[in-house]
Amino acid sequence: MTLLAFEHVRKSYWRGRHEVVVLDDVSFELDSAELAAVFGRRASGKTTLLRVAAGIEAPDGGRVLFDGQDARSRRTPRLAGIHERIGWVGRHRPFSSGLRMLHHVALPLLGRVDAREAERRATRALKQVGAGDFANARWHELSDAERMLVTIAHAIVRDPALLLADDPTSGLGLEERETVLALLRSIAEERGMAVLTTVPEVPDMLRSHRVMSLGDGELIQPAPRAPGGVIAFPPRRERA
Amino acid sequence: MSVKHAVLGLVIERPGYGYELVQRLGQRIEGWRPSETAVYPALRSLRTDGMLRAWVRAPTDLAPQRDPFWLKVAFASDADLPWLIELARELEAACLERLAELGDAAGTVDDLGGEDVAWREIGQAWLRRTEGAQLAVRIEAVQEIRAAMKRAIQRHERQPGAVLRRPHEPAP
Repeated sequence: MTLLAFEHVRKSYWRGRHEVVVLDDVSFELDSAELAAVFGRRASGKTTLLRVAAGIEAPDGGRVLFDGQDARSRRTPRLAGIHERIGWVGRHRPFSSGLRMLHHVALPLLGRVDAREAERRATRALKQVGAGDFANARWHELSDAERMLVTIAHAIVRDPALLLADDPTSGLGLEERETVLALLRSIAEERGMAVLTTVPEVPDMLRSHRVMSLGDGELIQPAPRAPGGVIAFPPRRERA
Repeated sequence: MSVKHAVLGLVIERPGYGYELVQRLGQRIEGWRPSETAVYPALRSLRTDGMLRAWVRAPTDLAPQRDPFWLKVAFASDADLPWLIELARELEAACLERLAELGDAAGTVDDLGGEDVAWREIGQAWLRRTEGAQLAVRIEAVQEIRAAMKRAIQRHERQPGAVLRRPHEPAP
């Protein structure tokens, strides 16, 4: 089922007198339970793509459909609930350095469920990302890779339908990157979430169901594959 | 000269599988279409003769860049650029498609460090790994050249009729 759809999305900004086109006629679809990775070099517009997908920024042209609804009208009361269904994996740190990770992860549930239920769900999220041991740890005690796991737990604790991850592998070692990407894939498959992640290096895309690349505003996708995932061989030449 | 020698020549030039070798033979020798039933036994007998082994063990030279796309980029004129930009998009899409296929295959080998893993598995995992690395380089290079070609077109549009000089020529 298509959860997120970009239809001819265009987004640009002005740097002095030059218009910089960040997204140039970008179209793609993302299904539930699917992990899609977008490769792009630095400043290629990856974060803008995610911000438009999240509805934080409106596109200059085209449409973004979230679960079939136009995301641009998200500010209207009828659709105000959509951002509740989106999780964001970024580079934010806990708002207080003294906070234990269990409470950091439970924070998005504040005011939604009671404290005991929040702690129960946060514990479950931490366990699912393999960070159960860090419930009582503080941010400064964790490595970069451990922080990324906690950040992912923080993003999925509300059980969003769409998870957006902004370069979750950057700055990590080879094995740590594998761990993070395998985790995103299992979150997509087991929780049925649609996961859209950007990656700073091409090999990071190998664990995803769908690969795309973004460069000078253009999103490139593989040519459609033969039905059933069978690789089409060139047709045999007729014998003379 | 037999089919066997022709096949050996092709394999030394560039490795290929049986069907591809038949096609290349047909391209090389006008009017001669060797049948696949002749090529496969030739490949088999080459292997039993040890000729393929000799090729495998022979030193490997660093091949020069012969990718047709980059040769086209090098010899293109300004008027060709819109076509090359489209070719670059297609090439990038093809690289992504191949990468997706590699990703599917990569899931089958979990632990290559295990005691009971056959060399074939390890070797093929490395084949995929190096191909993935080469695809990564190609995708980044194609993105860069596409952006460079777009900039060249824009420059041309801003100064129509401008005579472009080569970098090493003195400015008029």
